[in-house]
Amino acid sequence: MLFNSIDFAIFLPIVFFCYWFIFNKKLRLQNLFLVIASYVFYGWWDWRFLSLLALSTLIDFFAAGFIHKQIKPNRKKLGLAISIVVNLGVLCFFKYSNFFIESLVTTFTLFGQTLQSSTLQIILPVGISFYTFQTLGYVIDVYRGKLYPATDLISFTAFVSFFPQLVAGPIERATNLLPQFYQQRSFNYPQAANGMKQILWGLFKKLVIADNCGVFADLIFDHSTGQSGSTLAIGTVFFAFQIYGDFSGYSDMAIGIGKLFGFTLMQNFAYPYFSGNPVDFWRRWHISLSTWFRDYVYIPLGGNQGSTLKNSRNIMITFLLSGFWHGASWKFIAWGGVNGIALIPWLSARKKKGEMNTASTERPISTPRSTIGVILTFLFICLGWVFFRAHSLHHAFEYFGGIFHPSLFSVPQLPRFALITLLFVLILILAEWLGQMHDFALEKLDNKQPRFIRWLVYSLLLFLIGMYMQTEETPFIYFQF
Amino acid sequence: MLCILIWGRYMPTLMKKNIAYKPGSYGHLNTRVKEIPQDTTLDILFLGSSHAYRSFDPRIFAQNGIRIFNLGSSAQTPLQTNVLLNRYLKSLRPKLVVYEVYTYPFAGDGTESALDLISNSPVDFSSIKMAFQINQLKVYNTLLYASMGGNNASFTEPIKKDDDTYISGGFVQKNDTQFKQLQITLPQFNQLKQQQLNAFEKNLELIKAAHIPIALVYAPITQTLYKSNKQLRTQAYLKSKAAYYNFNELFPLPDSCFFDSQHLNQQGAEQFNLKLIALLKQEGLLK
Repeated sequence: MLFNSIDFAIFLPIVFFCYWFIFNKKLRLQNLFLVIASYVFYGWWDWRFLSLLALSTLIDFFAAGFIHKQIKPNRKKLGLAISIVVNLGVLCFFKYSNFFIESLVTTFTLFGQTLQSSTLQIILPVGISFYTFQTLGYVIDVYRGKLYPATDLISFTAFVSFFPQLVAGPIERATNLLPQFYQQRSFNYPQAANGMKQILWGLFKKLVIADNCGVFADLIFDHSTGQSGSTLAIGTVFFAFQIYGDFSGYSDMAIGIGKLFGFTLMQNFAYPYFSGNPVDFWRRWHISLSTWFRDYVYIPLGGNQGSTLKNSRNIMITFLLSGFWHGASWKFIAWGGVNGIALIPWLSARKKKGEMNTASTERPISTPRSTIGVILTFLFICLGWVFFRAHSLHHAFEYFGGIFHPSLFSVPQLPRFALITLLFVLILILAEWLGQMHDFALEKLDNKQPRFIRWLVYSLLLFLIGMYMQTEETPFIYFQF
Repeated sequence: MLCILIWGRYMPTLMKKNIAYKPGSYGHLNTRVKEIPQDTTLDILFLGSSHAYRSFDPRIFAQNGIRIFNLGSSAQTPLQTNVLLNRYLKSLRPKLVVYEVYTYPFAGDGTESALDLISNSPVDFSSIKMAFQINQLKVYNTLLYASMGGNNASFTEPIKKDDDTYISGGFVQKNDTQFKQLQITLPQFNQLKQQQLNAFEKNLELIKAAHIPIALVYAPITQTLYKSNKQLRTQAYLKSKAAYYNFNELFPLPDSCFFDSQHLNQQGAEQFNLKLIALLKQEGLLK
């Protein structure tokens, strides 16, 4: 069930009540209840995939235990290999089988050979990319000695299946989340209130910003032929805010819901469109995934150690894989590749300056130089999104061709409501600029502000959600709007 | 609620995405509702979508000494028909109900027609119940606005709107006679919403409980559209519920009788109405 659905609106209060008032006496019972609630949540999509979730959980629980018990490095590696093969094998089967089949057919076709094949009718289990990486990270951390393996299956199952972050992240590190299942949790009103605030902010970003931007992004991308360059360019901006509102909104809701249950989940987005350069962007965008790839792919490959060529290779492999994680299509791989290429000169320059692991401390838009950096980075990211949103690699290149045309300097042809949507985007940018020192923008509205002001803002957000969220009625036949 | 009232009253249409309060919108329902005769006895009450209000001309029936009222409305689904029956059946006391059963609206959730009904008729328990049945945010917002700030009672709808002219008794005459081909896919029976079928059966029960005979009529559409999907299973279902008359089989009309693939023009309406009167008399439903 989606966070912005009626089903979840009924599910959450029931689970919240039971968690804090019925199952709060014993930790084990509370964790068990979370497992049941999480399995109900996941099974709501398709109960058949509960078995995959359970399989992944059991394999990694026992693999980590096995690894920890072994003394010989080869035996430890065996345990790790089993976990990697099973986890990635399941992921590859469900997510990438058809991609490999189709790519093979295309390759043979390029050489003038026809390969008879048919793609498999496979349903992609929701969230498999997320929980697979989460459990894999756990096993690797145990292998590296960063973490003792879980001894309690219930706590571990709760960690894997924790419903707020199960289907769309953040991809939690076991070092952060697993210990929270070992500690008795007591209701903390300020944390819960902060969580509610974050949920509200996430709903606003998803329902008002993302969904309305999505209408125009779809309109422009799905009918890109014949559009002016300026319209196509605006289309990339709409998509930029659709994907940001959608993903960061969902993360905000996940983190906020976690707070309601006494859990602290990691920040997943840190105002990425205020980045002054591509490196900074990747420290702010989908942080849980980018740090996962950094720690489990980039650094094991050698990271920034060695020559510039080796470093560049490591960056490209990491970003190509990251692109591939996002979707089984060459356009996602291209998207990853483009971002990797953009990072190479920046990371090389930083390596020379010895600034490899420091995030940008410069407040964005504080100087003309930083402002230009933010704008140029945003434009670059928007162009990168073309690969992400286009129907195919071919469509992406056609789209670029359409943007870089003299009509780029014409007035875009957009429906009137697009202007209202852009106004909302500006409001979002302003709110986030004002709140950027906090984990999420609305957090700036703390108890120092008068209650009247706080509740006015909350009411206004709820009102805007009610006024502008997309509704799902049957398309109208006659109604004139 | 206050915000909805202020927003709905003072903001331009562009800013009111999820408040669709539009008195005087498509189909002249505002005028039709105000014209509903009080405490009278009709010979025939017509129900249905635009296929009703564009097909049954009170003037033709009046020429044959038959008093009718056409309570069709834009994209009316059984959910809205239920509201109208609950409100007006007792006071109208028709001797016969003719329910036009073009089932395309049955495949929808009824939001479009619900907004039309809320914007152009009073808010009462029936419309609140309908809103909960449809369960769409736009309907809730519009209903809230209508209940607080709606001004459809004081609104005066123009009789002539673009190509449409409202004719007393509930008919809407199309003035533009140029034929327009529409791309429509008629739904299969399994595409009809169960909620609409349930509401349809409740409507039939309501009418039967008032001891009023019912005739289910499938008004003519172009033969091209009709033959694209004869909806045999739907027809079998309708036949099982009440006396059913499919005029696309009984009295097929040429394209010159239509202004688009699914709506009769004036010439077509006149021919159809005369045939309908003869049939109803023949069947003993009209004396």
